[in-house]
Amino acid sequence: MHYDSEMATKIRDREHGKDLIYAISLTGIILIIIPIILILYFGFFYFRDYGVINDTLMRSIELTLFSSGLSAVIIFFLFTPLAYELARKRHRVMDMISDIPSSIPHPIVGIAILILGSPLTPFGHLLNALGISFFNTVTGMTVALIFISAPIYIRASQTLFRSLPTDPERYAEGLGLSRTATFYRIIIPQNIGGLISGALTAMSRSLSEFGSIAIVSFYIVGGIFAGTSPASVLIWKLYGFSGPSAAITASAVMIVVSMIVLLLAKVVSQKGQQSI
Amino acid sequence: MIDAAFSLRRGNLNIHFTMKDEGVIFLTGSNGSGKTSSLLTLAGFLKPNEGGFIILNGREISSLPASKRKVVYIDQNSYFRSLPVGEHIRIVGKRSFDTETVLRELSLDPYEKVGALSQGNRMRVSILTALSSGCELLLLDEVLSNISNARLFTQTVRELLGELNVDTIIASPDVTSGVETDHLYRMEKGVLTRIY
Repeated sequence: MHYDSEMATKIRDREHGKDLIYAISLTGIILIIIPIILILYFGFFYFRDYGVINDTLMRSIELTLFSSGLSAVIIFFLFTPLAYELARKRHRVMDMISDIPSSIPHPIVGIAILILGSPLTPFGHLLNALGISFFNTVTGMTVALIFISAPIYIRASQTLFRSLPTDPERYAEGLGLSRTATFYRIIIPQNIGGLISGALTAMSRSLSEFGSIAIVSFYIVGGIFAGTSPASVLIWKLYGFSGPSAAITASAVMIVVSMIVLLLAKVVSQKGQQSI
Repeated sequence: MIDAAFSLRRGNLNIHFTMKDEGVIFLTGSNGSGKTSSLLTLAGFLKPNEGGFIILNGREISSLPASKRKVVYIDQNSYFRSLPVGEHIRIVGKRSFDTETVLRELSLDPYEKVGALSQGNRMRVSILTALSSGCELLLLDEVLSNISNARLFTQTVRELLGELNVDTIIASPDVTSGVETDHLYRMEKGVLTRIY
């Protein structure tokens, strides 16, 4: 086979990454990373308000990690079938509704959840009768995070499922396996790495949530996290009452936590692809 | 015994399919002649025009969904890559046969993941899985091209099929693959002709 020398040059240039696309991409990445680097520098080196790294902050981070992790697990079980259904069939209305939480201001989400859990609704009546409340509780915080982060997981998983060839599913159907059996016995195990990675990305989104949980769970009353505020709310309070140095140092700590979760998502995703 | 007559339109191609035979049936024809569309219609994934029929071993299946027809369509991507060979073959497991002996003859490790096998071995596993599922008609769409010694492979499959009373249609553009068959059909521009 004869290789055109001009083609060979273009291939070489592409492999070395020295083209306009790469340069523009690098610029975009730098724009994203600058605020993060600024927070890390000013938080850990300039202000160094290490006094803020205390029990209150740690409890706050634990609460945020716990609630975000729990919401990711629930999102995985609740919304994976929806992502698969949207990937395989055309449901315009369902598709549009899946995106709604992303497009409305998050404080509105918080207010809606409080109304849902209040005696104003039959559902709220039932919850209250069972001793369950959304207001200033881990339950309410988790519900808000599920609502906010579900669209991210649904879209990521939908893209994953859409990229899969349908031949194995057609084969399974011919074998007599139901669609449900094929989904739970073949599709999910085969793509568990990608799905977990999507859940971790949704968790990472939950870690940064503020608007809805500032309304629903400004601070937690009762339970093991009694008296604790979610991390984003605590940082906002620190900014208002303790000044920027405390808030920025606390923010730097939260950035490190978020980056660890993101890194975990990447590792899981790559391990999932390698096992194919 | 497969007894079918139907027509359907795919793009600019009008397909007319008439077949009444049993055993191992070879279906040849150039790319784009309508072979795959015909097999997918038999399997229940494409809907033919009204007025046709598909009767498999005396059972009218044209109104049945694909999962109820006992017809398995296999192409080069028809396998579950994350399952070990043994589990793959038993995934439906409605018909038993001497899996261990067959795996030994085909040099397949029951604990190896199907995704790690060569394409030829994946097809072997896919076919064994289909046989294990209790299918009555097997449709192999261009799978022989990736199997070395297709003659030996089909001989093994024929022995199994003979014992299990399963009809097979093997579609391939290459009529010289050296496969022993009971009948030969050719499809050109949507028209099916029986050679023998």
